[in-house]
Amino acid sequence: MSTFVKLDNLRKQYSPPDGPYAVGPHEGVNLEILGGEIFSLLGPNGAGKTTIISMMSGLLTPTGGDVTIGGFSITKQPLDVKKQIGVVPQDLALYPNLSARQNLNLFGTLYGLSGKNLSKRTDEVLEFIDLKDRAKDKISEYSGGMKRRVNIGVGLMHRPKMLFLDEPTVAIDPQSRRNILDTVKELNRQGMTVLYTTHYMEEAQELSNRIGIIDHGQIIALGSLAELVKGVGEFDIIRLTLPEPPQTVIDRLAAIPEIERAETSDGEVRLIARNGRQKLPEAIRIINEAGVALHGVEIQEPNLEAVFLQLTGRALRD
Amino acid sequence: MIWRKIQAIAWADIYQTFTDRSALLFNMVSPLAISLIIGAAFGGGSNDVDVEAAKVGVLNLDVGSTQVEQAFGDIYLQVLVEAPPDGLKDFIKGKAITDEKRARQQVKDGDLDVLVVIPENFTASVIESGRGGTLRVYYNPGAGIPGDVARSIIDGLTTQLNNQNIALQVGIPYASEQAARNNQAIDAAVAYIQQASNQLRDKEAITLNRVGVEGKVREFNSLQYFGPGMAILFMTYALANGAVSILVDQRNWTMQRIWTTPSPRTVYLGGKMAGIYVSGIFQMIVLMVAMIFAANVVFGSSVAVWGTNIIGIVLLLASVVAAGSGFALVIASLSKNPDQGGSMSTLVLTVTGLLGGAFLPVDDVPVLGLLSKLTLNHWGLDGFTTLSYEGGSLIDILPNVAILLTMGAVFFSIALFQFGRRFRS
Repeated sequence: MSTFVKLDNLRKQYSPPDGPYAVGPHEGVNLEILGGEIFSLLGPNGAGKTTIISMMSGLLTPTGGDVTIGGFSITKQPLDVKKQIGVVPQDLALYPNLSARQNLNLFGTLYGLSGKNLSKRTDEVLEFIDLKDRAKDKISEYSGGMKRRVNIGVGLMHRPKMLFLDEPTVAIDPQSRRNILDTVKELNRQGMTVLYTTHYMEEAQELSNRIGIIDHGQIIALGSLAELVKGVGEFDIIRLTLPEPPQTVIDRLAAIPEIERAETSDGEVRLIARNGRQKLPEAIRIINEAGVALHGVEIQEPNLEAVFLQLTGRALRD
Repeated sequence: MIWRKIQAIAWADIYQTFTDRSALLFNMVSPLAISLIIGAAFGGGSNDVDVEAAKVGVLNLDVGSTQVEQAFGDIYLQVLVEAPPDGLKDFIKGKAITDEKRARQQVKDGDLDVLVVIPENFTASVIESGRGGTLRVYYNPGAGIPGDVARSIIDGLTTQLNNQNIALQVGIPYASEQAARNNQAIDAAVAYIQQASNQLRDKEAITLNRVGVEGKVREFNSLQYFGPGMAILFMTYALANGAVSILVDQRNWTMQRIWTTPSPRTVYLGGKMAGIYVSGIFQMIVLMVAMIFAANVVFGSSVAVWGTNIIGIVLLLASVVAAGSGFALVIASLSKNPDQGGSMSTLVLTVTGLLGGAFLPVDDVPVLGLLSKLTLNHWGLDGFTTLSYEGGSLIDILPNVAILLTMGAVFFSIALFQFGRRFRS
């Protein structure tokens, strides 16, 4: 696979010269996405995922650096870049008082389709998103999952070489989420390059060939799932359900040898530990001695969350 | 290709506007209902509007008679043209006519409400021949209230002359002559005057030959004022909704999504502007037609709510919607979000509607009359009433059209500048 997308020293500063950097506060973002791969940008809300996608799709002008997609520069040849990409925004960017067919026709026209080509492609997309029977219904009458499918369908109208999906599964039911993930896999199977942003590590783990972990506007880790997890080493995450644990208990837990870090949030204490299973008895002893009620215990094998936790000291959902 | 994209965006806007039932109810039914209610409340009459002075032309060919000191034609000229009595000054705007043919054409064109033609031998006919004299009164049946007023004044003057003046004018010289000879003859002179007066009254020494001239109909109905007033006001509300939809698109990310397509950003704004403008035109046309039909149903007769000058109506329509679209876009471009845009546009447009005379005429109110001229409502409403009520021509409304188009150009420029700043990334 050859490089299809290249982010070269990309930075975005709001309200220059003194405004904050949403992307690249320390150094510009450099990244390459290979043609035909699913690349996920994983990071918490506000990490800069949407800002990067916005610069890649020509919505925002980079403060510094450039993005090249399919050989075209977004700053110098934006229309050529836009012909190659389909964008599925996080919001349901559809006209609710138009039907699915009308929405697809509208955006198809804006992508340059017309006449029979437009009509044929609209039918194909409706078929693909499995909404042909409801094509004439207004979007406002659809369920959340159906709206999400149309949202994706619009981005497919011009058969783009690459699809940007910005958190497409936010606030939808598990069945619809499953449907979207399957759709992304199917599109990729057909040869489409996919840039997928999410703050759900399960989605990134399931879909991605490669993953970039982003925090505070910087990519802090990059690689395949195996490579990233390998970077964490033998670390496990011990999750202890402890409503309102005293600070003294957290400090004692953190002081256990080979416990790298102790974090607490949402009634849970997370311990990043080498050989987590061996350290569990001692952790439970400390909790018992403190007379704190332990409501649950879970040992998690190394995964993306462990990677993120180790790199940032925070959980992805924080 | 660009044009097709602009069309697609405009069509989406128009389709959404005219399939939104609640918006249709507000934008279409409300102005129609309010106009008809106000129109019906005023009985389709003119109670609410100042009556214009009647334009009366007097062609005085009367050479008089040796038996009277003053020709009767001069009396008409004096009363109607040269020195109208105080009570008539506000109702009569007379002018002496020299060319009858041209004056009759003026009646036909609506430039004169009434033409009085006093023949050469008028006084002589009344005094000497005993046959009585005949005045020809040309009037435009469609001249409305001013025409009615003028004819009433002429009728009254003629009746007065029939009853008193002629008798006196005939009697006084005779009585004076008799009195000079013999004081006792005064009684006889008075008796003669009495007799002459009665005789002339019975004979109706002066008769009016009224000739109706088919010309421009000038039938005033309250709807001619409140119809355009309300239509323009509610049209601006609808245009503002359209303009605020840009902010809704921005909030819902449909605008940004359109910008991710291979189309210049101007395509989006062009499409929105075209959609807003065409929606405004379409709404006004529907309202215009609906008001004509509704007026005929309510008032039971044909009411020229918008006048009959089609080219003038089209020009005014195009220019008032252009100004309205620009103004709506300015409001939207200055609003932070759709909610603020909605409330701000309602407030601003209601105030400009009030100032522009949508609810009541304010032209004669100090300060407000002046401020009114800053609003598109004023110029649109003034243009439409000029066409309908005043029977104005294309030339009469050209200043309105020019001012509205200038307003539109200025507003569009401001809006484009503001949106440009706003959307700069």
